[in-house]
Formats: sequence, C-alpha cells, structure tokens
Amino acid sequence: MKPDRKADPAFDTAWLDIPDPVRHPIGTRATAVAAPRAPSLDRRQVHRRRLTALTLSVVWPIVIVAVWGLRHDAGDIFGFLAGQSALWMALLVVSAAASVARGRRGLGAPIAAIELAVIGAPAVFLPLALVWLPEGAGDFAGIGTLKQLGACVGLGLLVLLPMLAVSTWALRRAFPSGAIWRGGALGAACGLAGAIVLTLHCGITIGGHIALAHGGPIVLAALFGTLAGSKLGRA
Amino acid sequence: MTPEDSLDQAMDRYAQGDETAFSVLYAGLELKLRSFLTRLTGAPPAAEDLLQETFMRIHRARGGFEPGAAVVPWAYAIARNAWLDHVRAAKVRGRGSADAKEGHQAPPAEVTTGPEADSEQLLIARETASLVEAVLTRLPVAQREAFVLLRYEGMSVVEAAEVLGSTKSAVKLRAFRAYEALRAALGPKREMQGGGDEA
Repeated sequence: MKPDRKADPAFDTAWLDIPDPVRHPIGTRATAVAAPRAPSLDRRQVHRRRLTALTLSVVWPIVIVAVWGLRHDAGDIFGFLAGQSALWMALLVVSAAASVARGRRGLGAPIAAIELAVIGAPAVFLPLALVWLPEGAGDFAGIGTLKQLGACVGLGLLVLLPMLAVSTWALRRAFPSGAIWRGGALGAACGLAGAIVLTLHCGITIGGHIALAHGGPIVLAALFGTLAGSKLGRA
Repeated sequence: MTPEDSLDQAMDRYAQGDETAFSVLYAGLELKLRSFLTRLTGAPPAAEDLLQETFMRIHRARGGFEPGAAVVPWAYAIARNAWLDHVRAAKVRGRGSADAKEGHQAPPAEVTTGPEADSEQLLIARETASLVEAVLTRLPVAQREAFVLLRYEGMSVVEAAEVLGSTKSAVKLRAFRAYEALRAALGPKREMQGGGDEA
C-alpha cells in the first residue's frame, strides 16, 4: 500500500515529524506455522451455506403469503400490487447488495453507500407507501385499531425474523469492517421482504397503519440487523 | 508479482481449504500485524496475544474471503476488531488502557543504536518515543487507530476508511485531531531541545 499523501496536503510534511514510538518487531518465527485446528468453513462450504440461506429467504415469504392469503381486493388492483411489490423488491435488492458487496478490496462497499441504503430503505418506503394508494382506497386518516396494528407488525416480524436469523447464520464473521451498518442493511432488506408480504396481504389503507405497521418492521429489522452484524457478523 | 500479490494468492488458496497456505500467510502478515497491534496497544505482550487472536479470526473467517480481494487490509481490519474487543473487555474489567500502564512499554523506535550514536541523542529519542506512546494511549480509540493507520502503516485515507469502516472525512478529522494532540505534547519538548517545531 503506497501512501496517498497527495490527497491530504495538510498531513504531508507536518505529521511525518511525529516519531514512531515502536521499534519494528524483529525476528519472525523460523519454523513453519501450522494452521489452527479449530473448525472453520472453507469458501465452498460458505457459498453452499449462503445459497441455502438465500433459497430459504426467497421461499419463506412465499410460504407466508400462501398460508395467510392475498388481500381481499387483490384481483381488482393487480397493477398496484405488482408495481409496489417491484419497487419494494428493488429497495430490498439495493439494501442486500449494499450489505454483502465485496467492494474494491474485499472490505465491502463504501460505508456512506451502506448508510444510505440503511436509512434510505424506510425513508423511501414511508412517503411512497403513504402517497401511492390503490384506486378506491377508503379512509386515510387515523391509525386503525391496535388489533390491526398488532396483527400486521406480528406478520411482518414473522417474515423478517427467520430471514434475518438465517442470513446472519450464512454471513457469520463475514464483515471485517463496517459490521454494524452492513448488518443494518441486511436487516433493512429483511424488513422490506416483510413490507412486500404486508402489501400483498393487508388491504388497510389508513395512513397511520401503513406507517406504523408496514413501515415499522423495516425500522425494527434494521435495528435487529445492526445488533446481529455487530455481535455475529464481525470477523 | 509483488509480495502482496503472492500473499493474496496464498489467502485465496487458504480460503479454498489448502491448509499449507497458512504458513505463507503467517510469514507474510506477522510482522505487519505485530507492528500495527503494538502501536495500538503500546504493549508488546498484549500485541502478541492479539496477534494470535487475529490469526485465529482469520482462520475462522477464511471462507468469507472473496476471490480477488486484498488480504493485507482484510487482515488489518480483523486485527483492529480483535484490538477493539480487547479494549472493550478491559473497560468492562475497569482496567482502562492497562496494558501500557503495567510497565510493558514498547521499545523506543527509530533510534540510532550503533556505536556512533550519541548517548544524549539516544536518551532524547527514547524520551520522545515514550512521550508519543503515552499520548497515543491516552487518545480516544477512534483517533488513535486512524492516526496509526495513516502515519505509521502508510495507508491512504481511502484504504484507512475501508479498514475502519468509516468515511474518508471522518478518518481525516480523527487523524488530524490525534496529530494536533501529539504536536501539542511534543512542542514544549522540542523547544527545550532548541529545534522548535515549525511543521
């Protein structure tokens, strides 16, 4: 690695004046060092594990929609459902890609891009979900009943928590740097999967309900993701 | 092919399950990581423990090393994680930066030790090195790691930001604050030496 001093003229000559407090340790081990005996996955095993996690993460929301069913007006608003699902899916892919991207040198995408993905997921979802309603939508004001809120938040968590668990399992020790934000982006992606399921399942168009019950799980998932990234994803 | 390219290839082989590549990796990374950890901890014994911990983490994370990635910054990032966990554990135990306080100070550096070395010059250099180390260990963790990577490990701001999982501007700011603290501490000493510090 060559010093990139040109980009930082302020540091150029001035701080080279600060001496190195540590003499370079001398004498490397003469004998060959054997690899640790602790179990560790090689690349093929890691890829297999990630493929398994990806498959489960795709199948699980489909199973949930199949079991819980589509919203009652699904047949009349196919274009709306397809459009919103595609948009949330695009956000999901961006968040997931920000989390697992290799980056220029294997340390992940630039942290600013990952932060943008984590914050951008709910920030884009909320206004669009509130503005973009199906034709013939009912009342918008209010937050609906607590039972409705609880049911949708519960369903969102039912979708995202297993996805986040299996993704964390697949990405164990995969983040040498930026683990908190990368975990957050992974969580946001899982939260958006929950939002897609809720869009397909729940026909309530009340603004407060959409914001809290459909958008809330995205925020919760991002927070859970930061925790998972910091505790389990860090290499 | 540069030494870093051959190290990347060794890591690539190790990630694919070739256990024999570990000794190549160890030989290529040991010196860099030990220096880095010694500068961070200010204590060679703690650095030695962290070095072993770092190689264990490299071993456990090897499957996630992507083809075409660079092993040196990847290993630095893992070493830094090991150090951060060490710092946090020490805080939980209420020891603070106990490593450097326990008398395990790192040996002074960049000192001419040959027969031509003037004993007074040697003493001054040692005192200066000790002062730098003392100030470094008092600095906030974020400032210390940014300064060490940029000043002593020769990384660019972009590379340091990647290793630290931070933005370029944040890394620059932290390193500059560390530099100001060091300069403030070294200033009076240099004036006493008659050289001043106009850098």
